[in-house]
Amino acid sequence: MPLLETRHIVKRYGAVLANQDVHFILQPGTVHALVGQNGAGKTTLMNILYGMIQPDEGEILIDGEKVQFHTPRDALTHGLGMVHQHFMLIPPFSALENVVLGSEPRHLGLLDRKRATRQIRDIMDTWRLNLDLDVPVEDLSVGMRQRVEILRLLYQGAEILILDEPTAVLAPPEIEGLFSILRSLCSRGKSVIFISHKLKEVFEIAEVISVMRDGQIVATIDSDQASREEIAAWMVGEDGDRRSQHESKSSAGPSKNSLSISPDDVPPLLSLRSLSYREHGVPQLDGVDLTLHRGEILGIAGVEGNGQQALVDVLLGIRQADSGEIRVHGQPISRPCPRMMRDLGMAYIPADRQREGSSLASSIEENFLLGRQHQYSRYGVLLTQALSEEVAHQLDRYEIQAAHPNIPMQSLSGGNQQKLIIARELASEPAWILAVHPTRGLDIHAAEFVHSQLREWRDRDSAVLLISSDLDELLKLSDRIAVMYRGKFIRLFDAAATSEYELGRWMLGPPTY
Amino acid sequence: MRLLSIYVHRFLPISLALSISLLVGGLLAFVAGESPIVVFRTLLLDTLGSLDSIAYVLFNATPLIFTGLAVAIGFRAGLFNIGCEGQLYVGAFATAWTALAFSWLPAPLLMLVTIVSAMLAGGIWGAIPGWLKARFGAHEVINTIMMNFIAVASVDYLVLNFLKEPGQMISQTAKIPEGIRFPRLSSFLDFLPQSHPLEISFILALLVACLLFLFLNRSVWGYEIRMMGLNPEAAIRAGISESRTLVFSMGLSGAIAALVGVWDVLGYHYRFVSGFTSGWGFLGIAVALLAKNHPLGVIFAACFFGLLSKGALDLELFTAVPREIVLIIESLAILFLIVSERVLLRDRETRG
Ligand SMILES: Nc1ncnc2c1ncn2[C@@H]1O[C@H](COP(=O)(O)OP(=O)(O)OP(=O)(O)O)[C@@H](O)[C@H]1O
Ligand SMILES: [Mg+2]
Repeated sequence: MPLLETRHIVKRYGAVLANQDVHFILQPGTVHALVGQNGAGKTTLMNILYGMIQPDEGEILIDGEKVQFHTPRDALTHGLGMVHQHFMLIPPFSALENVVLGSEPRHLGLLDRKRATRQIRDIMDTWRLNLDLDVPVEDLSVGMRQRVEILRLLYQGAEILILDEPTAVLAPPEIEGLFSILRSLCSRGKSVIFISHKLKEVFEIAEVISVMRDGQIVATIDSDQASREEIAAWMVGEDGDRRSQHESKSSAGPSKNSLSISPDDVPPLLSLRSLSYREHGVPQLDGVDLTLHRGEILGIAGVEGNGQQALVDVLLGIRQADSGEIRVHGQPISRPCPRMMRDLGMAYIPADRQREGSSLASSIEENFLLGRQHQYSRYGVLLTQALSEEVAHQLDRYEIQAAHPNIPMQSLSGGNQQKLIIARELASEPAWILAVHPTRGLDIHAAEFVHSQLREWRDRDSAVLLISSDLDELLKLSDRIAVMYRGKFIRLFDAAATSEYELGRWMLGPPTY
Repeated sequence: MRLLSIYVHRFLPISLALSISLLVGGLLAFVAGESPIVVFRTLLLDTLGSLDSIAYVLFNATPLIFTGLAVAIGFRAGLFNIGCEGQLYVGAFATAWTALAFSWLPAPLLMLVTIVSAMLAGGIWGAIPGWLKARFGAHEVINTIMMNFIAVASVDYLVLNFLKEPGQMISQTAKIPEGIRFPRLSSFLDFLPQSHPLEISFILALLVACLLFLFLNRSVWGYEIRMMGLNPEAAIRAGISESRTLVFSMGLSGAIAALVGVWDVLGYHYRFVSGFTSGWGFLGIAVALLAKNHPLGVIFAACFFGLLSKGALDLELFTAVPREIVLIIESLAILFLIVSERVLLRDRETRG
């Protein structure tokens, strides 16, 4: 008997059918992957399973029995837990406190720390899941925070774990760590629903793959009986032809040879000289030197937490470097601020589209305006007509699925939100682009399109500073790749002459031969 | 379809909240020994029964429109302006002082100058906590409250020692020149008795609300204020200056609050009278909450409060229930609004 089954699930948002007649079957002890293009309805289905939203029609069965979830708590009592892409932890609390939050073991009305620690240690031993329990969550890396979330679900007795794009925020070694946890969970009878856009990962971890398209599950296949091409074909369906045409058109164009350095008399777009920055006495940037030339994509590889965030913030001008020099177009910038950097031609694709890049409650049009409000105004008055036309054009160009340009940003699927932000930033004729994990949450096709856009800007003599945890992406796009480690660039590679393996080794520090 | 969803999101919670709070009010009246029917009749029908008393409702609503707008613009920028009371006090003082000190100016010009000086005074008074927050991170709630005390104390001191009308017991200034007093609407509208206090400030209030609506939705600065309120992190990264937005929106808020001072000095007392305010600055917070910080909604919310305070008088005169029942209805309206929104709009999941 299947552990979990859904029948005829339907969820409508106005005219949009986010889920139409979904049948989904989960067997015990398996990792079940759910794949599909942006806006296919994956998150909607998971939110329904987790009791976050109620379906319009259909039913959910657990162990063959009909259940109804009105809140996530209902789902948890039936053993269903979900790790959201945007973690729901309380940053200043310790890992332990976050794990027990809401179901604390008590002694005389207070948190019984000893008992909690014992219980959690038991769970950690059982699932071979390591974690420092006393550190505040805000000081943990993303990978570790994810572990806290998983531990929290296990502590609350979850039998089925739903992970919505868990690997999007992880670096390769962290992904390996996550996978070994998932394997150990499944070998002892727990089940996992795993959403990802990276088919490589899907085939590595999942036993069963379900493909969603336009709100329906169009195929469910054992992973050892399917090929990547097959799955990809299921994902695009009949539109496949149209899309691949579009793709080949957009990626055509003059390809530029790498490492061609601009002539000496043209100053580099951006140059950083021994830039240092400390936070709470801890060095975040420790003498960073970097030169970004016109017509190149410079990749930055590194394990998260090695100074990337500080580098981005210093470049934006929301934090000021303690020492060192920033030059843009050869001109030294003494006190940068975001407005000034933007006026000097910077486009910025933030790492976290929701926190750093948009206002979820505002409409698509208003979000498209963010950072570009001066371009779309005359005498301080917004040019709404011009804006609407541009947004309509960009929605079409990036194939962003939106019922209407006035619907709020939060009703877009995660990938479509990301596309909108990229469309906004690249529509501003940038001189250079600061792109942080630009394809996070995008499906294969959309990621391809964004890559072609970045290449196109490079070929038009702009430049791209690309920070990404996806080594494939770095190798594919970059001309040069710098490895960032403990606030420094420890090595600069010609992208054509390096490999994932070599990068991976340097990311963990200078290798000792 | 979209209209329906706008209705559900915007108006359904409000209409629910208002009806439930009125119903509970009626129930309480019953408990207090009065027939709910009588209470409703006094509160709603009688108050809305004649043009004359409707005009009283609008008169009551006028200062609340100003303070409601002032608080709303603060909220839109993510700031809680509890300082309207002080800002309108400073505004009133500036109005009276300018009107008396420059009384030799031709009347139309003098009227303009007094209004501008009131808005400047209130604006600066509001901008100071904004600046303190931008510069030192000091919380605006504490600072605006403090500034209220400072405003009242220093204005009263100045009036008592330098501007007090000679030979008077009460702390008040001399009367302002006739020429700059706001004309009453009764001089245009025949159906209002000559003594009716409703004057053109009400029209001014409507105008300010409309202008503010356009400003917020159609101008770059208004957009920047809204984005700063909705997601400061993203707004700052997009190049919107946090300190400028803080100072500017608090200044604007204070300038609009100061118009209550203008209303009182040019339109009602024709002089500055110490302690003239009856908590409009604080009621403005309730108005803004009920209006969900929408400038046009503020007009209606202020009228609702105006209606209740007119009704409160009548209740006391004609029935056995105490006027405090109106306070209960006001508070319940806000409470129910918050609850009904939670319940009606629960389907708000996080997206991934
Ligand atoms: N609250 C909502 N209001 C309106 N439309 C919505 C809402 N939530 C989801 N949708 C629509 O439902 C569709 C499915 O969205 P969903 O988030 O499930 O996609 P997804 O498969 O998770 O995509 P992604 O890979 O981009 O995360 C989208 O077209 C989206 O715009
Ligand atoms: Mg999703």
